[in-house]
Amino acid sequence: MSEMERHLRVLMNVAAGEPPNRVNAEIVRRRAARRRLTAALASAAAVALVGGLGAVVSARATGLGLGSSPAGGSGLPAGVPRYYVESGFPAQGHQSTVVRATATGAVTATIRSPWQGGG
Amino acid sequence: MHFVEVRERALQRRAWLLTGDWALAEDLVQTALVRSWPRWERIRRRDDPEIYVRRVMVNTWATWSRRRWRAERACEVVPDTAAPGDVAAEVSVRMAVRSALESLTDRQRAVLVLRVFDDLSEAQVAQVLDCAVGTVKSTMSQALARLRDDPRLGELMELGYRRAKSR
Repeated sequence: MSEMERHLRVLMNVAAGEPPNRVNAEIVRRRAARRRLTAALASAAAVALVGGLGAVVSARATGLGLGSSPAGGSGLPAGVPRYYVESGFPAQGHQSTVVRATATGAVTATIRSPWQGGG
Repeated sequence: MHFVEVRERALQRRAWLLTGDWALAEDLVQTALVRSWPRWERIRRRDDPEIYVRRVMVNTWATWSRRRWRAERACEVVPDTAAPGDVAAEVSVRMAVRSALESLTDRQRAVLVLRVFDDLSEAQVAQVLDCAVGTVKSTMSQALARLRDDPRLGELMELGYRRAKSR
């Protein structure tokens, strides 16, 4: 240690003097417990938030049928089927079954029986 | 925690040299100890607790000095209280040292306090600050160069040199 460093050390010792208050283990223990509690609450809140967001996103994806069905959001009241099946008369000897959208009545699919006179 | 009872005074004095304020120093020591508390058993087994707490203190202070709004300083007691001894001389030294330390960067101050006040070796300072020994050496020489230019500190050191010579 150089002479300057030695003098600095003396000056620092004089300057630092005596702390006006004591820090005791009890204060540290209490603050540590509070910190742990805050951290636990924060992580619980984060989990709840992520869970809630996940539930909302999945409810929107499945409940409103976004991209999951050809009809999309049909605007029908809950409990009413989106499609219905209609059995048609035999055309040219083939029985045909038509699938229609309940809301619009539009034909979404036609199933023709390969056997003459129906299946 | 026996460590707190034995070392709190030294920790607070070191914290004062880092912060220049007793209320902040107390808060810094408490925060460093609180952060070390959950890992205490592991620190005791694997590391020197003193080195670990010093490292937490220096890092915490570096973070605080970047973030904290420091225009107002909170304190529990009014600092204007009567004290025994040569108060004028003590206050003058304290003010000179504090203003000299304030002129340094956080890193330079930390190196100076650990190297000079705590009397740690360059390798130990490097361990606390998690840097190379060469970095400690260069930071220390920059800090000393800056302190050499401080007129008030220079005056006090000159007084010290003269006293040492006359002995």
